[in-house]
Amino acid sequence: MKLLNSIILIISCAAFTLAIIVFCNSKKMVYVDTNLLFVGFKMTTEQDIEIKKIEEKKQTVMDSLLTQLKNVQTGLIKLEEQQLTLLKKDYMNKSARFSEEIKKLKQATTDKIWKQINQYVTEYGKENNIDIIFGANGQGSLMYAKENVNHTEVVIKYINEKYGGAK
Amino acid sequence: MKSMAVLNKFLLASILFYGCGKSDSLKKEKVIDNIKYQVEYFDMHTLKSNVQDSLYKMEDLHYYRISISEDKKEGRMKDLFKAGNYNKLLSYVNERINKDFKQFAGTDETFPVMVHFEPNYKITNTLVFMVAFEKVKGINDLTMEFNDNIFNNGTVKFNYKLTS
Repeated sequence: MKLLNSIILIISCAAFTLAIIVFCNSKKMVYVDTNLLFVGFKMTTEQDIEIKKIEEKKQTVMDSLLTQLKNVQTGLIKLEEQQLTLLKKDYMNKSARFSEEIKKLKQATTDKIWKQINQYVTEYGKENNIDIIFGANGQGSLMYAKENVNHTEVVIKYINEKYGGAK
Repeated sequence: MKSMAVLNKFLLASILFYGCGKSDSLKKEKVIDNIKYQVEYFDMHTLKSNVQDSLYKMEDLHYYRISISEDKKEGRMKDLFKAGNYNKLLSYVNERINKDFKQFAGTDETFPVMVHFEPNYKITNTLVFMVAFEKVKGINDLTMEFNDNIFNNGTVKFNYKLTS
């Protein structure tokens, strides 16, 4: 009786282990390089251009103020001490404000880009029946994976098609 | 005077669109951060055949019906309909939203000639816009772009390859 119980226990354990192995192996897991995904996404390129345009506009204003200051310093324009102080203060304030605005804009844009990337990657996973998609960012979140589970290139193509509205 | 004529045509098209069947439409949708964007492109072909000839000029426009909704009942859409927020939305729709719609046809990039916000009086959880662009003849590859400044989801694009 004891022997029979032991055999049943061993068989049960073996079956359980086998089930776990089969379950784990049946899971489709892939990874994508999140840095490449971000850089390769068309929206990132488009938004970069837009931000550069805004930066250039702001830079024009700053350049004009700087020219005024230089002209005062070289004696081309004569200003009273009080006016010069105001001009310098204006330059400093605008410079700080513009930097802050650009920083906020970049952050907001990055958030918008990630919202879309996350959405399209989710859809890619669902469409391709993938259980888990890991995001490798080169900072240790994913230390090793075989190259055949690297879906970065395919996902970049997919998210760009999605973004372009073709799919 | 010209803008009044366009407005009249647009309103007539809107009425006809909502009133008649939508058989010649192309519908696409996207979900970003739980917000669903449904865009329907349609032309006046079928409508024209049912109504008088004076409407033929409406064929000079591309029409899109954009519907933005959210599945969550207590989500961001609900917040949007709160008094202060709704007034902000209305002023955005009245003053600036036309700059957030674009159509790309070939190398041409155009802004809408008309944007109509369908008032829903907070009854439904959906925002509906009717947008019209000047038709670019001979181009069958169109992309309608909406830069979402309502839910801050960035640019959403919808591409249509017309058959004729």
